[in-house]
Amino acid sequence: MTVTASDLETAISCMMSGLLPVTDRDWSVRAGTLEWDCWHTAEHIGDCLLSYAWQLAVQPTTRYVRAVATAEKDASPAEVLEFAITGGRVLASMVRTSPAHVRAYHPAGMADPEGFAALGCNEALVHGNDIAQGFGLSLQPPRDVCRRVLARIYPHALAELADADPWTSLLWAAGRTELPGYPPARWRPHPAPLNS
Amino acid sequence: MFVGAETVLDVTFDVARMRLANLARTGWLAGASGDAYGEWGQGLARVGPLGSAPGVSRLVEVRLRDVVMHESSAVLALRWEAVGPGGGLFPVLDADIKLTPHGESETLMAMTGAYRPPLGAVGAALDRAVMHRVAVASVQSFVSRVGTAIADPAGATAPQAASGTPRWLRFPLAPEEA
Repeated sequence: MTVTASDLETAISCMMSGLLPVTDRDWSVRAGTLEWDCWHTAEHIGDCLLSYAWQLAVQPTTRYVRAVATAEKDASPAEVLEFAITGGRVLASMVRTSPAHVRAYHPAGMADPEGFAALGCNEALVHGNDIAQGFGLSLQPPRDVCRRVLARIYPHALAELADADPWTSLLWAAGRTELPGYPPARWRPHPAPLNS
Repeated sequence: MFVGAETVLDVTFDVARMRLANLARTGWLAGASGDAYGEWGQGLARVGPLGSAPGVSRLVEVRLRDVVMHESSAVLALRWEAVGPGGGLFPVLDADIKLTPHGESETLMAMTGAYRPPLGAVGAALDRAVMHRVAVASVQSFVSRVGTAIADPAGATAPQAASGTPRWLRFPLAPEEA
């Protein structure tokens, strides 16, 4: 069960199709339970996914590449969503073209291309859902993608949550929802290869 | 939680302490602190889609004390703290930058301090070890930059954060006010 660049593209497409219909709305509303508004959450998605791509590009071992990607301050909701999609597609390209042995810094461990793909899926889906919730909506990503992401960056959670819906489990792992009978998740993703 | 980093500077102790004091007096050190603190928040936000991610706070407050001279060391104390709405989502750092002679022609610069983990969902949910790696990376980056500026003041890159007022500054953090 591996997470691929195609999975990341699927996650980005899910985010895009779920949020495009609300780009005519006011994105200064809060994104779900976050302190950020929808506009800045989308900007953050773009920055975060681009930063993962940069990590794969130059493979620093002790820090992120010292750069920040931002949207133009007057970007419309459609344009800042486009920025988020850009980050996802650039990361997917880097995942697809990076050799499997590549490793780069992430605070939770030295990640390989598959790990960054899984982190990217998680970022786009969970934060994309935060934005959707700002408008009373929710994303509905393919459950097989959610299951693979969960298995990759929460290998222990997958076994514990075998009976739960994978999308709900992913949201639980990110602290967005409760799962009856389970304590709040403690965020420690595992972006390094599972055998390391 | 404790955090620190050190580097050896290729200048004498007397030159290093004079240049450190100068960086503090001109506002460069406060500006670089603002940059480093922004990177810290950015690093936390990039860990993953945390509950309420840091980055919302609009201002970082940097406090610097004067360089205090001892017989064989010079110490500058600093504090980084986010203020305003959402400020508690950021860590607070209290640290000392200490210079000591390292042989006849070099100086050891060490930054040691302690930080309070952020409050709210991030502090509650984020694994302490992960949070600490972000702190270490940010402090190491800052120490490297300050060390470079002391060794070569003419080549020092101007901080992105505002500069000009020494010792006590408030800087906007990304994301800026829309």
